[in-house]
Amino acid sequence: MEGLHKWFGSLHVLKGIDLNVEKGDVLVVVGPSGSGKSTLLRCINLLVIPDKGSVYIEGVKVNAPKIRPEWVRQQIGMVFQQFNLFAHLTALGNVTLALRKIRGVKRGEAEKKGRALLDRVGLGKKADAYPAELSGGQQQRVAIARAVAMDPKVVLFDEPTSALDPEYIKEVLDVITQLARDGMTMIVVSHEMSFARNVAKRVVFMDDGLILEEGAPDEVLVHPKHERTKSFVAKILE
Amino acid sequence: MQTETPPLRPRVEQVGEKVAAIAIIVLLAVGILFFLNRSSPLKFDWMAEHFGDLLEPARLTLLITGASYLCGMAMGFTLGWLRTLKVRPVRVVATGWVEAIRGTPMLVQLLFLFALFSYYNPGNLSLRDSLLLTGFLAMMINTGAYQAEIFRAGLQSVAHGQVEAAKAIGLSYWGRMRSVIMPQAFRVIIPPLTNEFILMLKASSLLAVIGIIELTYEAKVFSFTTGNFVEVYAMVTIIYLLMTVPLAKIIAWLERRYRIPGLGMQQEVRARPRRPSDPTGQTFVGTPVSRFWNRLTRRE
Repeated sequence: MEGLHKWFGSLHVLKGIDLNVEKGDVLVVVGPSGSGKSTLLRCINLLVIPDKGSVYIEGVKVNAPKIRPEWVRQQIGMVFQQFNLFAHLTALGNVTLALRKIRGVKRGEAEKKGRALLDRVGLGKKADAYPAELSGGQQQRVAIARAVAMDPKVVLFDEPTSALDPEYIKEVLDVITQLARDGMTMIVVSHEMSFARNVAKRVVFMDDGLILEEGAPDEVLVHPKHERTKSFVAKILE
Repeated sequence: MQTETPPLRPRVEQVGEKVAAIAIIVLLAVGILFFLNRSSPLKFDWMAEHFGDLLEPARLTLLITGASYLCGMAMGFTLGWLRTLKVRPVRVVATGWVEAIRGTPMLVQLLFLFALFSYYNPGNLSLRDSLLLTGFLAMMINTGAYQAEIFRAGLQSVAHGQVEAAKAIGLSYWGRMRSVIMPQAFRVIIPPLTNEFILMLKASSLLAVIGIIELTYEAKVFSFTTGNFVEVYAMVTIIYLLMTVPLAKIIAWLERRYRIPGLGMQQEVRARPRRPSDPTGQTFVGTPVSRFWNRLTRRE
């Protein structure tokens, strides 16, 4: 990403973000609310179109007029804070929808892969349950399976545990950690400090639309250089 | 996500309510018939003999309603969809059209079209066909506007997060429409769509005014030529009910059958909330009929 800017009306949300994510990276983005973390994620898969600057995926500039946003989004998985599972489809239906409707994979084949993915997130037995019949933690795990179903180049996590009851946070973080260990490239907006310290390869601190600090988890979270980072980390650890 | 739902009313109370309601209706009907019979006895034999004569015009009623309803659905979907678009001029035009149709009586629309067609007869249609066309178009235009509102509400009822998730997995606009928005919207709009069909079936009786020989027109002619007014309209009432009531029941059954947890209307009969001003919680619970029944059956 280079010099990324986004305005919502007169509100300047992103004020020039430069960020590079390598294949296999696990990048955790922290920062106070309203600092532009979610907008940054949404700029990557073009749910929000940046006003200035460029997003590159494997060297291709994707926020270009010639490129269809759908094509970009098909290569990027996303997990939302509110899960956003398709309410009219079963867990299996959620995971296989993209495969069937976009890749044109046959039903049987897609379901085989879908069941394997649900097994990986520990929900093989819940394949036929509708979202309303699942707990928050289970819904989020299905959402993760859905996000990786298309073998994306990167998965974006937008505060995946913030809407969960405390009892479900661990099971979701475990799944994300496992995915990271398997070598998935991911960008995670999260305030889970232990997760950031144990799993992240790099941590980015954002405030007011800018990246203030970037580095190894211990550098940013334990020995922050910047005043804003210090006070933020202190507040989080309280 | 979880919302508080009031507890189910006891099964006994639900059944009791229905029994009481049916009993009252039957009593009323018997009473009316009894008093009618004293002045001029109803000719039940004659009614049984001529019931079949009314089935042919009833068929036309169903046919023209069905055809105009389906074409109106295409029109309604398009208009409703246009109203959800971001392009302002498109939205304004669609909204204006819908409001104009909804804001005028269908009888006036029908007569307006009838007047137009009497000036410009398209092609060389026979009188009967040109009347049928007029009636069909009037009903289609009318239901189109009402269905537009139903579709618009349905499309807009789909949560933003669902649309965003559909975008995020890479579905195109029409892919999202087909695989996510429409399936969810449909479960919400089936009850109002059913209701609209029943309304149109009844509104088709207005076609009698321009001389289309549907059920009501036939009833008018039939009653005048035979003099058996009450008998004919009793039969017509029964035929309309035979068309509307089973339909509503079938749709309600389908809805229950294809219900998905957490989506669409809740089917169970829920207790009405109690008024806070009523500490005993007795006075305002249930329908008038169920309250009456409860009072009758209270053991004290």
